[in-house]
Amino acid sequence: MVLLVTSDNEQFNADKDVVERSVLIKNMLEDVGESDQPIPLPNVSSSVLKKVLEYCEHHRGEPLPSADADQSQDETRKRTTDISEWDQKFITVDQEMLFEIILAANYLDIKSLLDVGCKTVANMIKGKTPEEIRKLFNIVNDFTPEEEAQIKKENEWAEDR
Amino acid sequence: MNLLQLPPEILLCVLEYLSPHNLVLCQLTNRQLRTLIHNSVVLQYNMALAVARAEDNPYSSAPLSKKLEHLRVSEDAWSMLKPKFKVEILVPVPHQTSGIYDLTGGAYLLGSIDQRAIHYIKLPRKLDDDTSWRHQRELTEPASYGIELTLREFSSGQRHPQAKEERILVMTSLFKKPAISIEIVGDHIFLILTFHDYPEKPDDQVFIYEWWSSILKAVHLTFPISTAILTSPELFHAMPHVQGTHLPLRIPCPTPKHPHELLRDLMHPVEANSRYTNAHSETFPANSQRRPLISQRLMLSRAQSHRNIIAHR
Repeated sequence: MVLLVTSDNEQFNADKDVVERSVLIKNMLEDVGESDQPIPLPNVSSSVLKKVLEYCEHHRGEPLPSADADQSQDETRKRTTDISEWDQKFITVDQEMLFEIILAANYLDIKSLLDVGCKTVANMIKGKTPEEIRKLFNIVNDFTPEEEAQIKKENEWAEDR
Repeated sequence: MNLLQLPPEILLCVLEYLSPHNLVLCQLTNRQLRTLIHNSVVLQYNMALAVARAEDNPYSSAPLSKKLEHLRVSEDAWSMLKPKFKVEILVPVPHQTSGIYDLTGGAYLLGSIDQRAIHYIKLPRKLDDDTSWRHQRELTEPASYGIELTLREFSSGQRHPQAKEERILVMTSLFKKPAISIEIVGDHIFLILTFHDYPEKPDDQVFIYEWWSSILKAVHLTFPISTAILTSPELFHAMPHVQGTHLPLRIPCPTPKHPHELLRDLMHPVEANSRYTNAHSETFPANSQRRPLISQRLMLSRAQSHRNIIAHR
């Protein structure tokens, strides 16, 4: 078992093979060796860590992606935003929690969870007009009307899609 | 917490899942997103591909920034290409034609049925230019079924001043009147002889000459070719008539100007039940003095899937 301590000082006990889905924790454990020392996670709150551990628990035992495998190939391929059923249910949370999970996945280096989070945000953006996107994410339109017209002009090619 | 408070690398990760069309709409939401999309090579490349209606070539190892640069230069050049005038020419063909034809930068050539004369129209440079048929002198009667290349300067009809030999005897053959296609690119002449009219179906033959020295660089006997294309002055591709992969020929060259990537550029594998029916290559319209090597737009259509592949370099 591994003891994790969150930013709000809550302690979580979890199996080693569960927490090791986080590359950050995996490396830490390798560095300190066998030890009962709790691992501090100052960037993760207890409510978020609870979700993250739920994810890791569910995906326990699945192969981890090898380090930067096919990174370059990945870049241009039309990437699918499909998310498995369980993951989809898991990630159905409010925006605040969604972003927190993404940040935690990034910090803890859990690539598959980061992907699920990013895909979810992408799916929220898809098919929306700029105004709808702004409204959804509380984004302020800081363009002048002239700038807006200019950008529209540059992107006329996309209109017939 | 707000979407825009996510670190830029994570925002980019999100944006990379969006289609070019969605990216355009995203750019219009806010300055920060606009800048982020604008500065990302990956996103810009994907959008540029969409603009050019092109596909990425996964076999090319060139970095994305290079691919993006090439794509943009190429698209810019195409957009600059505006004809000074457009004229439809309808000219009756006064002679019976053979399979010899070509459309070059300055002329439209059409051979006569006896394959002893080349008729041509000079393409008009001005609206009122004369577009009547002229003809290149009669060719001499061959002693045997010999295939001979004669190198003449188009403007004068005289022996080409840079060619060491005026005539190159290509071959003598048992078979008369092959279909001939010729491509001249850079230092090389590509001559493809196809013998359609014979039941024994002789192999197609490809001859590659360095035209100014008359040196034969390569000869290939090959399966029936449906179409052939040059993607660089050193690289010749023959698409077989039957299903299968195509045949790339590299012309022996003391200082190859292109790395191996070129070969992979065209290696889109042919799917089962489909074959190449047509390969078409357009040379780059940009200032040719600045870019002496070609950059081409290549289209391959496949018979059954009716899919156009456009490969950019």
